Amino acid sequence: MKLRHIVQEGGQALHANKLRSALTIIGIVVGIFAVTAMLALGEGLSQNIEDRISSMSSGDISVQGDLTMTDFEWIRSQLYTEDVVATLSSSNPTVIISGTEYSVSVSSPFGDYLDANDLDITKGEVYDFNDPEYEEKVVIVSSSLEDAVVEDGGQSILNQKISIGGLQYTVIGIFEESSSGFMRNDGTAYIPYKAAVGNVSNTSNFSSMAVYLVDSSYYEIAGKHILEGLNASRHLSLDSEDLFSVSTAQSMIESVQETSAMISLFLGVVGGIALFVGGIGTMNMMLTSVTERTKEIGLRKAIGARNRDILLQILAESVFLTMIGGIIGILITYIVSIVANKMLGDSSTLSLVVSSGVVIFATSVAIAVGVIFGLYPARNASKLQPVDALRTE
Amino acid sequence: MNTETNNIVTLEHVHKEFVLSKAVTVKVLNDINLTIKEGELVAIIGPSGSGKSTLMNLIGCLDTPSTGTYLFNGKNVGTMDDDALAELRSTEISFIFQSFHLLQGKSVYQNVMLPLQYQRTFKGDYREKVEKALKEADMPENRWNYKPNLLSGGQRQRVAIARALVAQPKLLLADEPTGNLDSKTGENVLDALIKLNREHGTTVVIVTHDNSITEVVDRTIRIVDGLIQQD
Repeated sequence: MKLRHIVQEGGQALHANKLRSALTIIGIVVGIFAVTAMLALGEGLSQNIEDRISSMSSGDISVQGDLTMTDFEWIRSQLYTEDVVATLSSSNPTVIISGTEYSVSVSSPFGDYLDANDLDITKGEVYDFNDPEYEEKVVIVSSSLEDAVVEDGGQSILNQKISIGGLQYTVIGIFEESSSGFMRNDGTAYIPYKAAVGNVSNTSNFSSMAVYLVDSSYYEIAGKHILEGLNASRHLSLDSEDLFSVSTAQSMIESVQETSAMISLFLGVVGGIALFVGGIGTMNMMLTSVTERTKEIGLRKAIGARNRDILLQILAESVFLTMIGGIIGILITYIVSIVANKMLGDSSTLSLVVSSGVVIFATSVAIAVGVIFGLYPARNASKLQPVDALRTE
Repeated sequence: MNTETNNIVTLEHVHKEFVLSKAVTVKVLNDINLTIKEGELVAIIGPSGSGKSTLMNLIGCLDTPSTGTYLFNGKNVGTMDDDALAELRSTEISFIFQSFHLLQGKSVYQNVMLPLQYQRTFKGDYREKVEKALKEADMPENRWNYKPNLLSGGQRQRVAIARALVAQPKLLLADEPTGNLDSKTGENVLDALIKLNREHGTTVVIVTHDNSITEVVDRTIRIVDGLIQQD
């Protein structure tokens, strides 16, 4: 029997039992929706966390500890280093603008900050991040801070003096801040290294350094080398993590990927249970259908149908059911993902991502369910002896 | 012509028994020896339970003998697997059943086309063959798209005849073809089978309990209690 006829026969058989087919399809729709929604949720969760880690982490390697200018120069001199940005430890100084206190993240990035980051200066100018002796009391602030001030009835703060930790700093530039991280505040302010020492920071040492590598894949070797170099300079054992810790965005992402894979698996299993129930429904329908059509199967065999023809016909019906259910299930998931993502908003860690991978996986699962749960009824039908089938009342 | 090749059906010492349980075995056919030549119009008659339908099932390759040999067109059916038997039924043997066995979800036209769908070797125009078969079975053209439940008993049997003709079989087996029809319609159906035998040379075997059929066939085989009583 040609494939065209198998498909036609399958379609006709399902059409002949519209209500029963529809009810079976609903079972599969629920199952596929559960699987795809759970996978989409898992994927969304994983992507969001990875994105946030990527955006939060500066550089390929992050070095934490009490780091000196000498350490900075040493790391910068390494062949694998492209850029280094060091940050002073900050004491979260109070920021007051026009008499109003704002929640501002104040830091003093030092080094190759402008090379490593696309700082989009929308107004004014920037100071030299590489000059350790520049001590003018200037500050550049994020546009969100300016927006907050304007919202509170203030004016543009460019060229205005603002109070940071009790000292007056002149705003010389405003930059567009890319939204990132889990923290929410009024904005960000950068002040020169030397202008920060003694005010927002009690020490001239850095609390962290972000190292940008010539090639990101060196992160493991470079990270080990930096830790060993720093420990050696302090006469510590090379792998000690007492004073310094070295972490990489990649290693964090890998760890999160492992966790999110586990979450996806768990969610997938939950969806799989619903799909299993749908599959049992399909098998039930196909078994009933085969029993009802025993005589028809006998006739088909009498006029020349081979066992394989009957097997394929029943399987085609089963796969038809689950594929239709699968497609509807995927469509519903897609629609639900659009609605849910709109409701949750961009800032939410939760989101549904119906990727092509999820669609391909769900379609394959739908077909597989049709084959697996249709196989037993189809085999039963194909094994019927024509004479016995025709004799059935 | 060689006698062996002229025999379309050759049964030698064929027995058929059904095992109902470990303790109960029913012998339905006993040492059947029978040949049917190509182009013959044969009636197998006998009372209910005599084993005539079982014999038809064996001849039609719907069932296999418990012991004995069955040669169809010189080929030993006993050595064939399910696929080979299906192929034989698809290309060389057709059936007409008392209860028509039409598929209710399909139109007249689709019912008649069905055997061609299972012919692996068939290439060409389905339409031409289906229309020819329907016309030969005297099925009015304005009924071709009807579903079987809208047809009279006689028309349904004509559809079944058309379905049997479409594959251009060498052997046509009719199991009580007039059993569900009134006498007038039954005569028409019988005439159609006789015409098929006379004009196309198709071997026709009619299985019935109706003795009156002996007047119109070439040969009558009477079977009683699983034994051929008269040939």
